[in-house]
Amino acid sequence: MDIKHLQHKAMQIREEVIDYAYNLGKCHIGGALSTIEILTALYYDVMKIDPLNPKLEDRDRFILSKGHGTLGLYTILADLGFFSKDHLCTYKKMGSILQGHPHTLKTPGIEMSAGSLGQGISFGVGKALALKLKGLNSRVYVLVGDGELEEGQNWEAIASASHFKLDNLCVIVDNNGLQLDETVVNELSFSNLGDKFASFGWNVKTIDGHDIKEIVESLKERRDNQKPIAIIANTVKGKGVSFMENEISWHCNKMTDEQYRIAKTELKKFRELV
Amino acid sequence: MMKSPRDVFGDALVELGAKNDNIIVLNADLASSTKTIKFQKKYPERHFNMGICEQNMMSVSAGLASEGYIPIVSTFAVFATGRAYDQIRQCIAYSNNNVKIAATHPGLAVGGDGATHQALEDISLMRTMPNMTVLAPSDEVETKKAIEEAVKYHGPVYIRIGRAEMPKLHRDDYDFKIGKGEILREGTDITVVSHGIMTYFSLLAAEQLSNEGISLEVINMASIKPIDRDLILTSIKKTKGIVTIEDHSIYGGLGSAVAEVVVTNDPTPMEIIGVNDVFGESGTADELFKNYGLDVKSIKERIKEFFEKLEEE
Repeated sequence: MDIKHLQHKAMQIREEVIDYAYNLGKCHIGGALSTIEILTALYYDVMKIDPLNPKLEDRDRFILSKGHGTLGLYTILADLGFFSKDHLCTYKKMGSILQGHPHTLKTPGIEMSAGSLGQGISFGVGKALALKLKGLNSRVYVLVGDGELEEGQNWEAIASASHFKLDNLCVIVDNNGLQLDETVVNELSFSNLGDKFASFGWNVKTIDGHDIKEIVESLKERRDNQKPIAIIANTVKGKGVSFMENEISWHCNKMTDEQYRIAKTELKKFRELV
Repeated sequence: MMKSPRDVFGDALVELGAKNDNIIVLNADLASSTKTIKFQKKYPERHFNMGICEQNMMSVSAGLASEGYIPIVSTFAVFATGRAYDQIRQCIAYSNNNVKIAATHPGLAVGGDGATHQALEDISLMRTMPNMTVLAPSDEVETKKAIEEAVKYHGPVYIRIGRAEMPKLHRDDYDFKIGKGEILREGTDITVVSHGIMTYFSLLAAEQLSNEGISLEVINMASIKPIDRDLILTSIKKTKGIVTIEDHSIYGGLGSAVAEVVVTNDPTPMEIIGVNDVFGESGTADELFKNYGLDVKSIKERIKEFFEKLEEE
């Protein structure tokens, strides 16, 4: 798919996310908006998937480790036809297939139940090992938050991925710099993420996480050295909506009618610029 | 001949590995203690030593299970259920991933390593988790059968594998089923329900008490969840009271599981014997059982007192 088309798709998804978030009320919106270009690149270009056969044996696997950011993923899965868009209005509601945090048994296309942070890379290591045992060339992509990397289990998983030479595993860090209470730097100063992954024996690339061209290129790049890949995607929490961008309070929040109107107007302008 | 169920576990894995290519064994730097080393030697490509990373190991096993493999994850009971509780909860139980957690070194029977290594809460922790099946086999035969049944069953299973040596209580053709207990000795005065090595101790206590005119019905309840409700209710119809015995906390384990059945169906006098809401300590298994009231003599006395109290009423 050409880059222009992917950029438009990302804008369409971002606008829909705002619609569903407004419809729902209070929800995790900031960390959903920061992932949109990454998810768009993966789902509309990079990954082999089949919405009509979510368990296709040789599909690529995507794991959203930062489960709270699931609204962007749900919107994309519905757009691709994994399930009907009607479900998006039921997100977080009683009886919905769309739980507040993703649940693999309820939602087609969700590979892993997540919500308790820090488990996605490990789960991805398990899948990557399984794919090697099966002799499949499919790849495993795990999207983690930078704040989430504070969980110690990640570093067990990062060490094991390197130990088992899992070159079919790619971890993308949604490096938006903010967490629930604070900036990541103020809460648990976590500098030089790329160096940390590299020191554990990973191939590391740092990119602009909103530049679709750069995302696609980095996801498609292969190095024949048996190392897992970490892509540090520098992003903006709340990307696309001025009053949400880099604002901690928009980790989980509710838009007023006026805020919704402003958000829609800004996103429309943003789309026209693309 | 006395044998540790743990030793049988290693051999059982090798047998299962030969029959089923989907079985993968994971351990966390304890292959020689949990005996998964036997599988490792035979099937190195299907054995992963994950290092001292229990949390990672549980989530990795869930990832493998999500791809159709049957991971058997092994570490000490205390680390499996305590250290990696949340990983078991989210990655394994909540997603109903087909992982078998084979936990060794449970209870005071661990001995000298002390309280940090003696899991007295593991059954309690696993039993309250939806989708989780909890097994605590007694002797070597039942341990082997429990692992085989766990592999046949689709869904998460926690298997508590004893370390203390004990004799065979079952014939080799014994047929273990998840959800079923068994009467090992019929009796009419008191129903005794236990698991693991305490089943052996219960049989010894029953023999001694029969000489004193007290008849115990000894039930071995290796399937703690689901529990054999019918067997318990049938037994208490003919006896005067029920006693549970386990090398586990008196809270949340077999005692609680049996009490839930009894209280909600047929309230009956009951006694729960186990470790009384305290941590263990170092010592030999025999010394610890004696000090914490779980040796045959203490068990026998507790049951006798309970019986006499019922007789007075």
